[in-house]
Amino acid sequence: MELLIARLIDGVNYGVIYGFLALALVCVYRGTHHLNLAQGEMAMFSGFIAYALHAAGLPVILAILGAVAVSFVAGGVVERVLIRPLGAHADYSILLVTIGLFLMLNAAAGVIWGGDPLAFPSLVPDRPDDYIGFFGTRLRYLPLLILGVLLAVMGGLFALFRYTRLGLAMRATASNPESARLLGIRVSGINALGWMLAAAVGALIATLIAPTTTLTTTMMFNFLIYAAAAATLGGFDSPLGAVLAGIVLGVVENLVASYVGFVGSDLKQAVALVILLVVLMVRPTGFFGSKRVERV
Amino acid sequence: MALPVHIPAGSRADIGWRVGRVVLIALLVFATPYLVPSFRLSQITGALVLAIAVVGLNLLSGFAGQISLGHAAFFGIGAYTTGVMTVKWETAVPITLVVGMVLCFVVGVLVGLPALRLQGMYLALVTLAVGVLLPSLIRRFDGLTGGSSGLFGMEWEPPGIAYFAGRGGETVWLYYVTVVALVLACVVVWNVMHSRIGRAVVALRDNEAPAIMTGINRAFVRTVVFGLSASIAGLAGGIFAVQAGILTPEAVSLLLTINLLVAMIIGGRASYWGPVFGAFVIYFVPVWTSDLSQGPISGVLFGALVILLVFVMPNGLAGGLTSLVRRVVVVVPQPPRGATEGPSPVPVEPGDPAAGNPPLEARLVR
Repeated sequence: MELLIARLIDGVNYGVIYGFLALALVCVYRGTHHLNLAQGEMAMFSGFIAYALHAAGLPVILAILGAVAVSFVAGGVVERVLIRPLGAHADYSILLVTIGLFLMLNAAAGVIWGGDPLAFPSLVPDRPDDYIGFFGTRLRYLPLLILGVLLAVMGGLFALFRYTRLGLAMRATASNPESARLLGIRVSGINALGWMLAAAVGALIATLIAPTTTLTTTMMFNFLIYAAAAATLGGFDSPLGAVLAGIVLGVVENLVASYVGFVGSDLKQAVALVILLVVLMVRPTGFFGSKRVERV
Repeated sequence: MALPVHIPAGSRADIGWRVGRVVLIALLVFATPYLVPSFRLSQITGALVLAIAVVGLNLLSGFAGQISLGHAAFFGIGAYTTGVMTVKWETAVPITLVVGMVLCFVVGVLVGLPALRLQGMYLALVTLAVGVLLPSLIRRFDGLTGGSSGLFGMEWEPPGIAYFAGRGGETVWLYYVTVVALVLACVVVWNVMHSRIGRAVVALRDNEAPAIMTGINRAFVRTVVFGLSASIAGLAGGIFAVQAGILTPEAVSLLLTINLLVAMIIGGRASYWGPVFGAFVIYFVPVWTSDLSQGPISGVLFGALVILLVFVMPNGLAGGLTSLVRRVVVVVPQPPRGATEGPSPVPVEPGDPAAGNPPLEARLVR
């Protein structure tokens, strides 16, 4: 029983990270309907920026917030300079630009900070004996912090979408860009905001998980695949769906890997992807995705 | 003489221009083994192998417009089929290539089936899932595949002809094999795209609903194209196995898919020459950038080049080359001969079955 609870908690911890990154993917997707393959690498780079700020003498919390602010601006710059000039329907060009960005950021981080993993300090106590007892298992502070930040970000986004004019404009753009433009909404600005939010969210994730994963150029690679799966399961245009799907993926994957001997740790990732395949066969738009009705 | 030169289609100049291009390319292909050193020839073969895979991807993502983020998996299935069969069971290489292609076709059709209900990003994610699954399956079944430490010892003994004898013989042999496979792949894609299925593919890509209303069997066309595309990628993988001599799960990871996609788009998607250009770029640019500078800077340059090409050549190298050639030579299409003279100038002979006219038969019915 205790082992089961421990494994559940472990699954949730991972699932929160998947859902968090999936949230960033959804922020971009809602605007231009593109998957930003470079999202993980952007987050990784933000993590290294936080490291540089911390190394320059800033306290951890300020280093993290500084990295988030830098990423927020940088996300907008990337959208303005590399994405918007390509136009709304240049699917392949945008895909290729995100791939180029992926390769560039990955190599650039290696050039600037070297190939060795770097340690990043945790905001909360994270020594082996820092935990809260919970039904005989251990709740560690760092995963709790990540969960808390995720809930805060979700709440903030929800309030933004629900209670502000800007949020209303964002929802209008997501549901029908052409009509939104006719209503006088600056759709390009909204898309840029999506990229900025996504980059900021990515920076938060990278700096929060860095104490456990350490900062490396490949730290986000697997998370991006899971996040893409979670975003797909959640329906790609639903922030809540993405987060819930991320947590479900994390839990199921962890339980199957622990209890089905054949799967083991080698096929852990495969479990998540098989879930994705099965769900998409039954529900082609994920759990929470809005159906797209097309007129002929 | 003012450029561009206009030549009418079907004239001697036009035919000469067409034949000249083919002869030029054939000369280049046959001269290459004599002109370049052995290590460079094997690099060229590597680029040509990539080109085959890109031809396959281009059929699906270029002509049919379905993004695949998992083509490395089909490449991998082909590669590991050849690898496992030649090393563990000592099967002859050509047989393993055929088996690999059939296997890829079947898997491609199976992946294509759920793809029927999915569109855009959802389809891309399904193919991504397949692409990421394969390396972990290879690691899991390491008894067969060698797992993370890799599979070694694939080779293809050249036939006992004096031309392929000597130390560089296998390199030259593999070069010609790859050229032939690439030409075959291109011919297959060309023929498919100029057939009934090809027109259906384009119709489905450009406007699905009216295409279905005109009676196109969407499920059949989509799955067959998916399978065909996968089996061409599998052929590339099989040749890669004997050419590289070592297979690891990393070689068929998501990075390969990304390289194939970049090659396809840089070369010019939905073009016949694009995949070859793109494959050479993707193979040789990292070689050159790492000559220019040491270490990971070359990766930065490569990424920047990819982004730059999107802005400079939106139609890819093939598109850029075509518009460059059009500045020099323009082939002007001519109206069909005799089009202004009313009835068809070729008299139709009754009774010629080749012309589709069965012999006339008259019978008196009482």
